Amino acid sequence: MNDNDPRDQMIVHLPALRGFALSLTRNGSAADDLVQETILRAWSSFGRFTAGTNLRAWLFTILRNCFYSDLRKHRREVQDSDGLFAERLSQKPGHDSALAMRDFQRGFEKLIDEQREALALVGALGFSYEEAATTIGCALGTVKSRVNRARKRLVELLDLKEGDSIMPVDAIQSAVTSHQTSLHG
Amino acid sequence: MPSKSKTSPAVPPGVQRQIDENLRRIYAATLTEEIPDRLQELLKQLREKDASP
Repeated sequence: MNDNDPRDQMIVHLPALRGFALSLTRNGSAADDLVQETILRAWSSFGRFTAGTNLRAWLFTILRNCFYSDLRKHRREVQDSDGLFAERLSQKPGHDSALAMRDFQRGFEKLIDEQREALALVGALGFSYEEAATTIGCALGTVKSRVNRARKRLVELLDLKEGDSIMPVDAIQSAVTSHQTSLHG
Repeated sequence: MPSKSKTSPAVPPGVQRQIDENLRRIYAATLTEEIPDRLQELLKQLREKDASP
């Protein structure tokens, strides 16, 4: 293993790439197809990667380009959502917190693409505004404004107010824990 | 309808934190689950192809 060889570092970024692919495609199998295409595209382009620069942003940019060029090529609507992350959380139907989380996911899915991807990068995947701007290929202020508009839109869609709890923290925590137990147990 | 003015106030910090917290939670499963076999296999094949002259 060579720390400086981006080929060896690729695996580290796959989980976040899958997360980002899911937020773009909103469909589990389409997301993994997109990650596969990204791996192949990156592999043939490593010659153009500058060592020491941000590999994560570079890979995310490739994934994004693959997604949007596929979209243009096929001139099709974004695939039907299979409920974004819905199937990945094991929750009892009818449970208040499950309903609230489903509302939240639906709201997130309704955001327009440019806002959803900006919020996914900054809000969920821990990108700095600078890194997100590099990834998307736009100005820093554009990312800030997209993230801000995305949050505002979610507040409108979900009718959130300061002090409201979107869902009880312990409920979602137990849902996530039981999901992980079912995965690894 | 909320004002669409370009200077409309940002989302209150408390709500902002809740939104990000929820986002991180819905991503948590994807970030911790195993990489699907077909992607791991693809990486392995690419490495092997590189290794052979």
